[in-house]
Amino acid sequence: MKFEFPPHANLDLLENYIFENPHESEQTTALNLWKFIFRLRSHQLALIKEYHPLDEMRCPIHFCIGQEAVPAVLSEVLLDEDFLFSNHRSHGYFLSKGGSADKLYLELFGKKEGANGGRAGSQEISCPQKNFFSGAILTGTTSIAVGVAHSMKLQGTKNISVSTCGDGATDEGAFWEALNFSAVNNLPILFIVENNNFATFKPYNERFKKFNIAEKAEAFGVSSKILFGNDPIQLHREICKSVSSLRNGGGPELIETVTYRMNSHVGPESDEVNQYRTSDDLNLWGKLCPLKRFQDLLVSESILSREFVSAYSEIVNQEIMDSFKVAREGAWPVLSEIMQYRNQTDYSLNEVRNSHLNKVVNLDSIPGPY
Amino acid sequence: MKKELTYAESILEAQKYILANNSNAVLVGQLVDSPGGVFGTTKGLVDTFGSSRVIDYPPAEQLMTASAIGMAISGMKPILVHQRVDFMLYSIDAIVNWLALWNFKSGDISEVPILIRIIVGKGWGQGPQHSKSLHTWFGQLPDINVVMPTNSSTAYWSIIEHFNQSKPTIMIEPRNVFGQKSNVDFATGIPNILNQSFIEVEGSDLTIAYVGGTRTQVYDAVSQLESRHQIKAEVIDINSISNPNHEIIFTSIQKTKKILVVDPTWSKYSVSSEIISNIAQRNVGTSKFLFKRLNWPNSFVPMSSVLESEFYTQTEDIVKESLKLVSQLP
Repeated sequence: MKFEFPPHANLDLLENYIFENPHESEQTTALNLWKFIFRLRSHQLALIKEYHPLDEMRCPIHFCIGQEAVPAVLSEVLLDEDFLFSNHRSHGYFLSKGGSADKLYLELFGKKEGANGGRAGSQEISCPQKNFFSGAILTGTTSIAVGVAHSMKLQGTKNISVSTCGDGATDEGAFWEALNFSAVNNLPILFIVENNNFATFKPYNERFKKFNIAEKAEAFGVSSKILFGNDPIQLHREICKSVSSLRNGGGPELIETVTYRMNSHVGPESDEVNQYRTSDDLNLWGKLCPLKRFQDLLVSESILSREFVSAYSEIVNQEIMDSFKVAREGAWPVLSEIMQYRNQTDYSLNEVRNSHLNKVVNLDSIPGPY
Repeated sequence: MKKELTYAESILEAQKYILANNSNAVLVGQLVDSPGGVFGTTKGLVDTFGSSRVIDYPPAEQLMTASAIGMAISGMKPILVHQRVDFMLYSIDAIVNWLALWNFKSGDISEVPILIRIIVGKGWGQGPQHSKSLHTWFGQLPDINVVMPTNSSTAYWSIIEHFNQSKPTIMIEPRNVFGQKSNVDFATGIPNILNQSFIEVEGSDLTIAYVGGTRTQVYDAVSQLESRHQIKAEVIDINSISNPNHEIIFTSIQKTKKILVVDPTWSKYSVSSEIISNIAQRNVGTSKFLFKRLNWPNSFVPMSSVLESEFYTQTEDIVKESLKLVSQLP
């Protein structure tokens, strides 16, 4: 597939895209990819649905509906020892590296048993035990990922460092510093840039003169390709190739994936009021859904049956219900305990938050987002 | 077993020791592999340890500090060297938004055992973009050891101590003391340097607490005060910017009643502000104290040598202010 100009302007190309059929040897993989995408999508929809009536996930959440294919592929391809980094749109990557749904929900609720003890929330969540880290400041994780790759090269392992980000991150200077340094030092790093056309509300073609991120990365000496971002089988084939090359010292690679964010930039509400995209765009990309199109394909190829979908759907729904329960019932963290552990002796507590007495914090007194 | 070393030599020795005894330690930074080393502090290390342990970085400071952080979270123990504070400000995001809060936001799990050495320029017309210190800024950050060693011994042991604990450390080195010699005692075992202040000279007429490279002027002044004016100053090396020992400073001022704080940066919101406010907080009672600070003017270091001389705190300034303090009643 040859993209030109702003990738999202390639309407003919996109409208007529045919998802790749899995070969016989890829059928198990296809099923696993579908399961991951289905599960991730279900979790995102459930969180969106419960976000406001509950008002207990008191942090900004950047959902990833429509962008599930890359995390699905990485969940199949990466090892525990590989490192994975993402930006604020973190849930897919958290789950793909092996973070549990329970730990995710507990963290969103700000509970003590959350993935990071309620310190990080959604946009900075990490699973250190599985070498997954995220953070909202663009290129922050990209740059750290370079150092991890450098480490891996010096230690002579076959592990790789994977940095995922959006097209917005390529506005930042450090992104290009990262590419260049990785190329000069032949580092085992895979840069995945999910080009969903927007940096919050600003479209890609208003932010760049030269439109092809992969081509620009090639100019820095990083072997690059641009792919349609919603086709799990094609992505799996290409990412496997890249990862294999990386593990064998083939040098850094960049994959630009052309995809779309169906939900708003942040939060469950629609952001149509910002008038930055049309319903035509949403309709087009709705037809390119990595879940629906892929599911239809697998069902038509008899790799997936409707019974299996039903049965798996029940399992996933149970997981969602269990995770909400665990999160709601989880204990709150205590600031004084944290501070004590971190040796902050001069910290003086606000008398309203009387943590020593384990009083429940009065949530109404804490302001909401923005 | 003592050895007389210059400040620069003691840093070199400490790094050599760490690289020799930690196979996962690396030294990274711009021109760390150059023959002269970074102002002599990395001289010859690439010949001893090779280019996969002593690694040159390009002038891409935003990436490089973050990359060194990446090394530290994946099994290596990097020493990162920045030749000039002013230039490494591209790294502020990496330090403030990633390094400082990394362990906290992971839930106390993921550690970043990185040592960042930063050098403060002074003199020879280096001018406003080669002279800032900014130890105030770094010192404010929670969860990082920020130390500003003033002599060979504390410089040596800061590095060794860093590798004997798990928090990240920023070591700020005043270029103007690099040539100063003093004894380093290798037999003491690892002392507490990163979070400590030191009473270097005992006295009773006033307390002089100083930061960083002002050590040179402070000791010239202290010796003048004693020989010409029979004034015995109690001298405290504040040393730890992130965690000065306010207790020993308070004990000192209870004795002398007067303190002169010498802090080579802008006075606003500085370490000198912090020292004095901590004395005030501890002073529950009727003790009256006298406070004086010597800092930079509210401007930038000019290039012209005459202006430079006037800008920086000189020995005469310290003598003059000490005499004033001693002559006043609290």
